[in-house]
Amino acid sequence: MKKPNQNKNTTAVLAALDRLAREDRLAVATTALISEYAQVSEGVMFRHFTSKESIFDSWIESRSGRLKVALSGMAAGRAGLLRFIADQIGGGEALSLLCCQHADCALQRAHLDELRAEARAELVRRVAELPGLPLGIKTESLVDSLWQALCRAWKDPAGDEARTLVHTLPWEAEAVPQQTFPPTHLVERLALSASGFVFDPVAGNSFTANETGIAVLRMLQDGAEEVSELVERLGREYDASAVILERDVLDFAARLREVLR
Amino acid sequence: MKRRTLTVAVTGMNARPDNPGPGLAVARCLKEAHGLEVRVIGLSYDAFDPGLYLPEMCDAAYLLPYPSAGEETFTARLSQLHARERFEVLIPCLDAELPVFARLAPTLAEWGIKMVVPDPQQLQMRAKDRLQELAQGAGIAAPETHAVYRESFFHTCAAEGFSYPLVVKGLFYDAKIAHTPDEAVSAFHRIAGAWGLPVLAQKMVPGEEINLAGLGDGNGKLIAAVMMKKRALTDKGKAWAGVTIEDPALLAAAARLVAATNWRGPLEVEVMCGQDGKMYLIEINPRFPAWIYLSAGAGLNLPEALVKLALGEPQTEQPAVPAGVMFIRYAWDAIVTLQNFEAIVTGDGLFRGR
Repeated sequence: MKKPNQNKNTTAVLAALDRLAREDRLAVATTALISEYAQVSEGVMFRHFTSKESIFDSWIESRSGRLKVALSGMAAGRAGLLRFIADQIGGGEALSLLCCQHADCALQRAHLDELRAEARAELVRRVAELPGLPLGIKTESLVDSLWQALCRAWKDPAGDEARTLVHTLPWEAEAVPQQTFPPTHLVERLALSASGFVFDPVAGNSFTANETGIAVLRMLQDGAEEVSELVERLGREYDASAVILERDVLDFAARLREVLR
Repeated sequence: MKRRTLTVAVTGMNARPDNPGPGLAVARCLKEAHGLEVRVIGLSYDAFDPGLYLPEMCDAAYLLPYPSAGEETFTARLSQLHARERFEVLIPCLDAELPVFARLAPTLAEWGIKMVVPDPQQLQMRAKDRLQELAQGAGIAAPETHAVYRESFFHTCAAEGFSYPLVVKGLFYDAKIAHTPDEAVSAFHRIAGAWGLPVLAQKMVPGEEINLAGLGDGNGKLIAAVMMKKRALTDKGKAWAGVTIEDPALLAAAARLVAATNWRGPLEVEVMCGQDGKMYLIEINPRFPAWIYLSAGAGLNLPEALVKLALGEPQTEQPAVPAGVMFIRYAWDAIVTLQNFEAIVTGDGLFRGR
């Protein structure tokens, strides 16, 4: 039976490799550096591990075990995939294997590649089963983008991308418009006519809008940004319910995004 | 005091409705120039070019031999016409003749004919097969272009990173969007037959095309420019209607290109505003475009500015061109008497009002 201190030291050494992996320093990790990161003396470290290679082997064995458990235990569907992502970003150790630079050892590199290929195949299988995937894009490409997003989140678990990734898959995020209305500089440059004629002097395009559309464009040029603000201002001028006005404003915003790019 | 009449020869009087040459539009600009009294001599290569027969545009009109007849023949004809008409300025308007006129510039200068044209080296810098290099030097993106000598390229181009649709272009002129290898091969043979090898394959950039017509002073300065967005196209993708625009990014890109080449003379810069938000250089034509009359319509008569540059007149500040001036092109029928047609065909030429 291992003593408590032995477990603690082993855990600290393996966690040191996780940190080194996150900092892209695995390839230059000397035993001295590992010892420094683990806050475990080299003498004590070599009571638990016979060599640097054995440290790496133990690390890969430990993290691949966690990764396999997480992959095989993933619940079906989008919710299961998001849960898996959240757990990995929250825990992080298994992601070290997927996202680290190759360790400086041919034998471990081959092992790592094999583990990654297995993980990738499982993710491709899971993603392929999801409904509503973007048309015309191969599942492998979607998994590539998910993998890259996971690695960025692993590097910066407190960042915006990590926070988004736990509830929105990368291809879903791209489908969601960033703004309701086109960027301000595109709207501000429009020449508006009371006749309903609208001309974009930079792009050279023109279109027509009804009286309400022109009113909305003028409000946007005046600095209005929120749908609620537009609905309130339109409500003062037009005899229509807030629900209908909001629907019309959103419909108009969607058309504007198409026209102004 | 009435200004003296200036004699300006203008080539490219072809004006097929679906694909007109720029000569007629240049002549019209000169006729409407406020600061010049111009006698326009129309020069053309085909007796069916309608500009030759329009007395309100051309005060005299003559045929030239095709440059392929040899530079000696071409020069002899120019010399003969110059002796008759005393050209003071000559404005070449066609891509294929530009290299010839660029080479002949010193000879014409000796005769007293002024031209504002790029030199052979500048022409080579904007050649369609070297456009990427030029764009890179000017800090502008350009779609990848490959010089193609064999049709087999279009079956194996995926290995070189090309996918369909792609654009098949002639070295001087013509372009076709090919959606399949078969379409590309067909375009390759047609374009190679008309314009020779290599034919160019260009990666397709999805987006909206905008154009700029400008004038370089030969010392790196873009003297004046008018920008235009095509609003309606013919079957050949040529402008049927367009509108002036104000795009600071396009103007800055054109200024960088003129500075990078020390461009001398007129040019048309064609760019694609890609869906990725980047601007891609598609083509630089070393001449005014067929839509150049829009410049006069919008208050900045570029052919007039070119003639003043040729005469060495000081450059005055050019007026800003307002966005929103449109043109819509149309075709009409010119009635031609058999005697006038005969005069053109036999080489005597037409001359009026001298």
